Amino acid sequence: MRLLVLATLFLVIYSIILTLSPAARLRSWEVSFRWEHWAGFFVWLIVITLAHWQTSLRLPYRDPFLLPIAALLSGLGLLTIWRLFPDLGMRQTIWLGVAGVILVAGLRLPPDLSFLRRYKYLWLTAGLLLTALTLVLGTNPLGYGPRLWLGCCGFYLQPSEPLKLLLIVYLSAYLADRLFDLIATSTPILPILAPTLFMTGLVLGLLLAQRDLGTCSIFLFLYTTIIYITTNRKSILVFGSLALLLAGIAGFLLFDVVQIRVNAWLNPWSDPSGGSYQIVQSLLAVASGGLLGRGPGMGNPSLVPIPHSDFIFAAIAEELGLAGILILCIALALVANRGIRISLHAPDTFRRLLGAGLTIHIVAQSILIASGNLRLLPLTGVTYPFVSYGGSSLLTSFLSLLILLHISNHPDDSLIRKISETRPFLQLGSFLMAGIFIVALSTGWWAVIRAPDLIVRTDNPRRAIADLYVPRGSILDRGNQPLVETQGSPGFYFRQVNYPALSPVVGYTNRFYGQAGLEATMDEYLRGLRGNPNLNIWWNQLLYGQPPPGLDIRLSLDLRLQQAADQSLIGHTGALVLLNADNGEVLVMATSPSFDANQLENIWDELVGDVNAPLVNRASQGRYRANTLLQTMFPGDTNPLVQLLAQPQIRLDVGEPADPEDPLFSPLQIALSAASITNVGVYPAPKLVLAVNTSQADWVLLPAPDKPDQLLPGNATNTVLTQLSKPELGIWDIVIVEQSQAQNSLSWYSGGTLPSWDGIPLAVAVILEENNPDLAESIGTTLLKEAMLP
Amino acid sequence: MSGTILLILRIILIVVSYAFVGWSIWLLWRDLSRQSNLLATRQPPLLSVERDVDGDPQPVRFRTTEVILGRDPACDYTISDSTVSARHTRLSFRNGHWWVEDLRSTNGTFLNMEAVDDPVVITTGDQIRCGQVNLKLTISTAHSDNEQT
Repeated sequence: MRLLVLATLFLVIYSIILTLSPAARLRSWEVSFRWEHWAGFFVWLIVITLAHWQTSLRLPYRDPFLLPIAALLSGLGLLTIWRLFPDLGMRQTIWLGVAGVILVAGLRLPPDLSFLRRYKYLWLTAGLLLTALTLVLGTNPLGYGPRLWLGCCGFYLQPSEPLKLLLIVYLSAYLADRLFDLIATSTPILPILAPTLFMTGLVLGLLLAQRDLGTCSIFLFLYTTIIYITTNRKSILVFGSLALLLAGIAGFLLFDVVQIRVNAWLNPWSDPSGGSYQIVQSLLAVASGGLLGRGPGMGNPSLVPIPHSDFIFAAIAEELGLAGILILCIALALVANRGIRISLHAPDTFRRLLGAGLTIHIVAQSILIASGNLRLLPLTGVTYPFVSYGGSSLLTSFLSLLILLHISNHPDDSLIRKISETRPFLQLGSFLMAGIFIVALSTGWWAVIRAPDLIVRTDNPRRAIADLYVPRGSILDRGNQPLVETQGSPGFYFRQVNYPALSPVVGYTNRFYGQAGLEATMDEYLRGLRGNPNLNIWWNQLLYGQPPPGLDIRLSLDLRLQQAADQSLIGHTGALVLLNADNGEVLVMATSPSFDANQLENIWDELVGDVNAPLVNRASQGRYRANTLLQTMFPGDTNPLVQLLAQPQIRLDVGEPADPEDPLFSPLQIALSAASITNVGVYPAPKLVLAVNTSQADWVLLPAPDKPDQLLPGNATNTVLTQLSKPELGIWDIVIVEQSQAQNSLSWYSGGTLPSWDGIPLAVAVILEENNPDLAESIGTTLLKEAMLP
Repeated sequence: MSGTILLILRIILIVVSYAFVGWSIWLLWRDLSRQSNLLATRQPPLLSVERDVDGDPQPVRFRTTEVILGRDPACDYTISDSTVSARHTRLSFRNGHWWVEDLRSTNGTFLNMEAVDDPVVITTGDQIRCGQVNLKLTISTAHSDNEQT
């Protein structure tokens, strides 16, 4: 009784949290709360109260644990389904009502269950016929997939679920009848088992025809264990395991589904968006649940396919965490413990075997599907008894509960009746317990130990979903003009690129296409996972399952010059980098063609197929021949090619280091080389991100990732400067056309201010993927002149 | 704010769920200890051995947990018959049951016409045969006065 009160309390709190959960998701009280699941809760309450009242009336000596555990499991399942899909929750609620009525009605059955035993063939044949009917009249409520259901008027029944029950009834009845032949060690066992083999074979054949392979494996397991606990012969286990293995191999060779599932099980990470999508998403759900879970209604379990049935374990793991899964595991262990105990104390062999069979069925099926969710075993499409969505499954679970309650209902249970050997029962109990223990351990492994690696995976959609609820930091230019900012309201935040021509540099962050550019490299700051106090991040994760609001970052780019540069490159393919030669700050980073990151959904296919590769940031990722250019800039022995081969670090993807055999360079590298001429030999450390706006310390400067380097002795640049200087403009420059067979002709322009210039020292590199040195020169000089304006 | 309230609720949720399993386990444990106490304090059920001698049944009741049957007068139950070995059969109470065990007798012990090779549990009304002597065993929990210790 107290257990039922606790279970009710548990569900009440679960429902309250679910009602309030939208407030936490949106971090405000001005939301529409969720009320609909309370209907499910009240039906549950009525059913359980009625069942408790009636069982204590009619079965006074019943096992006291089974009903509360079944109530807890079915209530948790029901509310989880309501939380996922309210319309399915409604259906499940109706089914729960039906199951409750059947449970209460079934309490009037004769306590020795002889009607089951006597008509065993009739029952099994009826079950077989119903299942066979699905071959002809079968439908699937989804409209596709295996046709395992018999449907009428909006309600569907899956006959293979009760068929499991009927097979257990048949087996226990038959084996109890022939018990004395079976345990006599001298008689050959096979002829006695022949009818059961035949009937089980029939059932298996039928299920194979329906391609219900998960149920098949459960049947094989059930058959083996029931025969084993009856006969206590080890050879049965060997045969059973062999049969299971053979069936597995045959299934692997014959059915595509099995191959996909097994491959997804063995190598889930090789194809995370294809065959192993389900299992990877399931593991991500378990990982994002962590220790305490996201809280009811606050996770995103519906990201896993079919979360209400096959993956309800993962859904519960995400919202209730390891703590909740341990509850499921302990409840299951209690079922196993009580079930074996009931069966050992049963008054006759039939009920003993029946009790054991039902216990094995409930526990083994739970372990099987939980293991499938956790990648312990290949995924099978069986349901989680009491918890999963599905009327047939719920009904079958409640019928099992009813029979177990009947078997347990006798006054004197202090002595184990010595009908057959008890050891196999205890072995079976230990086996089931070990299975449950492994499930719990494995949940801990994914939810706690492996979770930090898993939740940062790019195919974890929860990051993109968190972006809808938590504002991401803005990206500002050096004058604090927002280049990219987050707009909208909680739940509908979106990213607005104010200056789209910069899209290849600032990149994008998109739910479907991932991240690129600065959005990718500065993600931790923009997302608030870096720069915020760890306690704050942890607290936000605990409360909301989301990172704290993101931090703004300030770039070194100058929007005025950037606009001018982008304008000049329109219609051409190339790139341009303008640096502060002294401190390496990147003032302009332009690349053409560009794209508009605001339109990514509409233009993605075009962008990916475009031969001009607009997604590439040519200024930092482009690779161009520059031998002639560099030889002119660094003539003779002072040629510093080797130092230039290293890639400069600017918190942006710059690609692989150059190949020394055939060196290619990015415009950024050429601009840095030019800076070392302007700078009298010092190769500056480039900087693109200047500072981050932390919540407690205001703007914090980010140091350049590289260190400045004395590339040349100070006097070495003098000759070059004299040769290339244009004193009337206050600059030096050089224009080169690189010819090569591999690439088209390239027009390079490189230049900078003279050391005598007393403003900001500048360096520039322009590349055009065409033979047009005049244009390159005009773009470069115009930009330099523009930048030299006060 | 909403997050904090919900966090508190979530923690209560977990506490309640563990109260559920904790209470279950406590009940189980209590059940177990009660039963083992019961077993420890329980008197073995009375065993009475009855030899069918020419229509003159002479039941002898035992309160001990071990009864040795044989021709030797030192046995708990002496059977003077030439087909019975000196120490023929042992009846013992353990694990809540009376067991019958043959003590490598010459002519064997039979329980309900079946040879007893390994210890076997007996129930009330069982017939055992030592050599050519038939004995009827009755197990009862009721106490009675004319018992022999």
